[in-house]
Amino acid sequence: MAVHHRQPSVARKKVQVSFVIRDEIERCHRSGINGLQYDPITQRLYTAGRDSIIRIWNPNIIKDPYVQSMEHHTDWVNDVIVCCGGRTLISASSDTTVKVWNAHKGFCMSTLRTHKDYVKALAYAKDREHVASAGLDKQIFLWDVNTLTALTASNNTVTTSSLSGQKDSIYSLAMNSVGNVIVSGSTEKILRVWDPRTCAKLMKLKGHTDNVKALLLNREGTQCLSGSSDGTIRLWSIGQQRCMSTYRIHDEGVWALQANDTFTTFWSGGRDRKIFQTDMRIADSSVLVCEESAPILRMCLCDDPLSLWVATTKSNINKWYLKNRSSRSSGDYDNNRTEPMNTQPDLTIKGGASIVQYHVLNDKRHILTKDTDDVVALWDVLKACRIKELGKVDLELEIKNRFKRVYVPNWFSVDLKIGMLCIHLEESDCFAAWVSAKDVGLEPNDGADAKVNFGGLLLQALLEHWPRTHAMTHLDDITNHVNSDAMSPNDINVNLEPRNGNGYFTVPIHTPVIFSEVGGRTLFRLLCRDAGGETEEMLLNETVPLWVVDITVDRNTPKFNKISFYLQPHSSSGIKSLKKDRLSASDMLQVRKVLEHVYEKVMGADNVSQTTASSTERGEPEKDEDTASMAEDKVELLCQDQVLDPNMDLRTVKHFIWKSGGDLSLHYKQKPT
Amino acid sequence: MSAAYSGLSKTSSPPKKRPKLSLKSKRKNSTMPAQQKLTPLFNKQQPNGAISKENIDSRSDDESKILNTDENKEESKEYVPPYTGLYNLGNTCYLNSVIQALRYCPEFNEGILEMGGDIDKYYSKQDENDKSETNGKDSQLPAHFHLVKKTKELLEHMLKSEKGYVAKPTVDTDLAVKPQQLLETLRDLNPMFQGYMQHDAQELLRCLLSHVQDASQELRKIEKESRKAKLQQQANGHNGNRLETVNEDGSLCEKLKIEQNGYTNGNGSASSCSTSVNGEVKTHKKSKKKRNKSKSPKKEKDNSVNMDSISYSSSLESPTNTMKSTKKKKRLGLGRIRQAFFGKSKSKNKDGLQNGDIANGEGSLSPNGRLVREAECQTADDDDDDDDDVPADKMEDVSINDVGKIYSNKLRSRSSSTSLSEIDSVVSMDTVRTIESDCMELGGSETEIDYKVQVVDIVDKLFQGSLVMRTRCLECECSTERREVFQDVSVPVQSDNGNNDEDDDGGSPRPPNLSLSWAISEFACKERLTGNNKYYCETCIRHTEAERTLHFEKLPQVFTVHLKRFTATVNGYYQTGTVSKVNNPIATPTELSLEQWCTVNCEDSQCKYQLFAVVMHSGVSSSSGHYITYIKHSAKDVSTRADHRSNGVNGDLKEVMTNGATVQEIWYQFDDEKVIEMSDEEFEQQMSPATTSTCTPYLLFYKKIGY
Repeated sequence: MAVHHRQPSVARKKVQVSFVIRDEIERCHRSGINGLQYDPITQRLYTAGRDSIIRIWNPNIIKDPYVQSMEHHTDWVNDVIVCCGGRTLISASSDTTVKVWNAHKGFCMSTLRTHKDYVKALAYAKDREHVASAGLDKQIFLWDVNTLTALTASNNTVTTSSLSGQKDSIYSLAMNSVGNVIVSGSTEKILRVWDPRTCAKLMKLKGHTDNVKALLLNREGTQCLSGSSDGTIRLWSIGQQRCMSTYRIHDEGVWALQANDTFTTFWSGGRDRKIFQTDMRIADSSVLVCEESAPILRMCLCDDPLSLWVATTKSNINKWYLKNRSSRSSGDYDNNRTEPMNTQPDLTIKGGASIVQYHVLNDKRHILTKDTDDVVALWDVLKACRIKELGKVDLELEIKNRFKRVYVPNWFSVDLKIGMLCIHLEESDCFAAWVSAKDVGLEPNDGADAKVNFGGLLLQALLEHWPRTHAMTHLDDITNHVNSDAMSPNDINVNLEPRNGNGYFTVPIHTPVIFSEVGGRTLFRLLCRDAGGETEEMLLNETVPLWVVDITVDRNTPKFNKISFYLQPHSSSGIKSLKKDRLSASDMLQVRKVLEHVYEKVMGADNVSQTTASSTERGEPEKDEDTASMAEDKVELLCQDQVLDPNMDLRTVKHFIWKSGGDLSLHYKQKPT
Repeated sequence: MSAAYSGLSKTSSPPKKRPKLSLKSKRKNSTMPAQQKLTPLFNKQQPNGAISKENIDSRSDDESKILNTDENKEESKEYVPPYTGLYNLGNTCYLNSVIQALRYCPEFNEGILEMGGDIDKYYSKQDENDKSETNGKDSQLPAHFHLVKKTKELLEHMLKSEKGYVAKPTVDTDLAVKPQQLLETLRDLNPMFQGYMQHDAQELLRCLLSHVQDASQELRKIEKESRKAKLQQQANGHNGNRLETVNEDGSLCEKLKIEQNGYTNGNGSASSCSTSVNGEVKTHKKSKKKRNKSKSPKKEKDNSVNMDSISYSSSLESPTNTMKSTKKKKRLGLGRIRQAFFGKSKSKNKDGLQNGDIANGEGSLSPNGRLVREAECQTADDDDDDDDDVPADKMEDVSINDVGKIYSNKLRSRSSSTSLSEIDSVVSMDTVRTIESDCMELGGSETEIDYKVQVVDIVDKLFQGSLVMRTRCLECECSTERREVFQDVSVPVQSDNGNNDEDDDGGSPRPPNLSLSWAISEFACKERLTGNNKYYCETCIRHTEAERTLHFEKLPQVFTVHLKRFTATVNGYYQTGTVSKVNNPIATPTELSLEQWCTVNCEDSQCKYQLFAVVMHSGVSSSSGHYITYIKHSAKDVSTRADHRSNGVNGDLKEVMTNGATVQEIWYQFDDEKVIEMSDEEFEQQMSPATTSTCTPYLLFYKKIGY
């Protein structure tokens, strides 16, 4: 027995901030469905989505069966169990947590963080109200549901049994209702059997030649049915410790199994998308029930009338009747020995489309995506929202059309594992992208052309409801920061007044914000608007990493990226190269500014501007403009013998024109008049 | 014991010759249980086998004591197998063991000799300074060419000393050579092998073969260029009408031209050659041999067919533009030339094949003539049976007998090259050049085409296979594939969780002895991508667990297994910088089928492999210990052996002639300079997992023996 504490989130390794761009209410599953549970008492169907959302359905309302979402997971939900007579729901997720939910009200009561990898399977002993969880970390934990439901924020210590000995990742788990046998299936290819009361190992069952992904036990725990990626289903006698039958029904891996109460008939489905019904007492009795449109992930049997809920890697959920054998339709199934009992599902709960492809545009702010319905959409990462749906258009063409010859460094990463856009911000590159606020269409408060940092703005927006970010910021500090960097005369912070957010925009308040270890376990998830809640504020104080505190609370200015370059007279200008000066400037310095520098300092043609610094000091706008236009008129700058557009910035020049490593080399010459 | 072998003491003094031997096995006996078992057998067997007069490095003093006793016992009746050993030049047993194993790889020997010849040819042609003759340090020679040359010289030297011994098996003769120059070249190429440290034989093997591979690739490039140049020349000169047939790489065009040239000029040039020096014979013969070598004789039925009839009959075929017929004719052209050379002994062809007993003392030309004739017969077979378009590496249905034959052929070509190089050195450069210019169009281009059509790269051809790496996502069970080549497979010798395993597995203990099949399975089922090393699945659009498996898609002629015995963290205790060794026994089958690890479309999946060489390592780490090699070779049977001392050459030739049908394959132990014969039982005992000692198989060489 081991005691597991919920660790306070201090001193984490590296923490990243992520958020999901989505609608406030996602009524449809996006992507596949990993788990299904039907509660006959309330007649509710619970589905565990790969979109990280558990949804509750009332299938009796055919028009709109959606009841509620249960959102707190941050990755695929792999399995759900309804227990305590339908009051409680337990879920297992690839975010490595197991969560306990109030099934009626749909809120998360507690989170169990004992697993260290994806939690793939749950098993339930109804008579004892015990639930077991298992996953890729090779661990099985046994939970007393009554204890779990009694957990509170302060009393959050759970005692659990762990069953050890598994040598490989566990993909399936079963426990009988009585709770005296538990079986696990894993990539080890063998079934391991324990007595959950004593945690004693009972036996290993060998026979499968591949991963075991589906397991069932009969009520007494004397028989076990296993479905494997090797394509076979095996019936085992626990008492005799041997395989009694091997069913070779499927062409490919068997991923889902259901059996009737008497354990005489089973339904099987898997990668080949077919569902067969087999009577275990009769040889070769398999009947094709139906063929789904995608590999079958889970089935759920419900009586009255006998039917089967089926979840696949697509987002639709189908209900198939099982008793209408007479109404076979002669279809296109001649190739199969058996024709399907059904060609149309009795009921379908429609799912939505999931994003399967994305392209980050050059401005490093907009993303084009394509979903499973081939619909292309344009998103704004900075504002965490969708700009518009473009319909079923050619994604490549859209990408091409929106190509801009501008280079902005990467500052976020994208993942699509939940079928929605999930953006990750990491300390290493989050602040890499400085842009001119005007260029990116952000309306500056005072009309000045401010330099803004994408990552900084976004973090400030995401956490603007966190009270700690409301603390007074002192103008003096800000000014200091500005002066400390000579190349940022128009720093946005100069104009900042003590206020919330970033002063430019807000993100949708329903946006989920997630703190997690980089590439790893989720630490904390909250909605943007909830940051002011008592619990949330406390947890944020614990969780938010320093690098985020630095920008959101302390309002420090991220560092500018410097770019080094050489500035030399062009060979055609006839001017001798004095010396090869290595200059350094902000990577977003515009070519225009370099022109000014050349005009004023190097060519020295004009004594009008005897400023001490070419561009580092904020002069009067008119004079600046004057100098700039004069410079542009008289001087041109070349890189790789291409004349540069004054509007380009140095990093764009480096990326699109210089195109190689090493320091950028720029040449100036006088414009022919 | 390892200290004795790896100690620097012996490296300080140059090897001294001593009039006795077998000390090494003696010494091992005292320390190694396995060898103790071995020794009594040897003693019993002494009338027939084992232990000869050999040279030995100076070793520790106690060795010499042992030596004396041995000497008395074995002096009188010893039989020394006529195989050359290699002196240890200071912990160079890693080199010796690998060289010996390679030397007995089917076709390796020939390949190296031929490559060496080509290098000589090319560079001598290029360079007026007669580089080919002074096989010293041609500064201009690229390093890997140099290595090939040194390897070739070593192989020639070994053969020569074998021949010498067979001819005159005096007790005083040392049947061992020093791989000094090769070693030096190797050290130049790869500083890793400098000093007198013990090294990993597998690393050496990889290093050696990769240099040979580089060399042959470069050679091919050079040949291609020079061919292109010649092609240009030809195009300018004549046959312009043929140019429209130029295909992508111009090869067809070239062949066609050669066809013509061969017929118009072939005889002329051949006769001019025949009137001149033998030296040029080499060029033709070599190109001929090249072709022969790369084609395994597919059928033997027409073995003794007179090649004249074949060549002439096919020469009468109406010329077609197919590659095949073109190629045949090319050969014919050659055949004619050779006949022009050896026409006078043509009638002796068959006799020569059957008896082949040309006295050792005969003029140097005669042996050459014989050799060439044999090669011709071989060619005749090829012409008759082979589809020239079939890549050489696909013709694997070689029976065991054929292998024997290949071996004999190999022996022959070895000797031919040897004598040829002798001739070469006699021929004046002028003459050679004259001949070359005469034969340029035919001979020169011919060689290059051979290069193109056939595998130049003996490493590619012999040792290289290809693997398909399949990654299967455990979530959606979709697979992706990637192909890569391999030259050996490194397999584990202990299971990963073997130590801490089975706390709960009492009911089903792991089999006590791991087998090679198990090891290959471990290799083939390469890894699971789990934990922090998950696989990004394009279908699932996320990181999932995945399984990587390897399947053979193309199997090499020689399948090399490297047993991963050296590991830095075996037990966790040995973190001292030296890698420690796992001495787990692995059951090593003498025959191996790789079918279960082949892809479904692998053409060679049915073929069997036979173990023919094993590099053993004794000792506790890779930096200490000793390497020896066991080699199974189609050697003399007992009766032949009896004849050995009296008429060694005859015996040799007899063996060659029997084509393997009656050739008995015997295991020999090559322990540096010492070569002894072993019975199968002795060998099996050495290899047996039951004999758990620190002397364990390290590299296994299997050769393909057909379907």
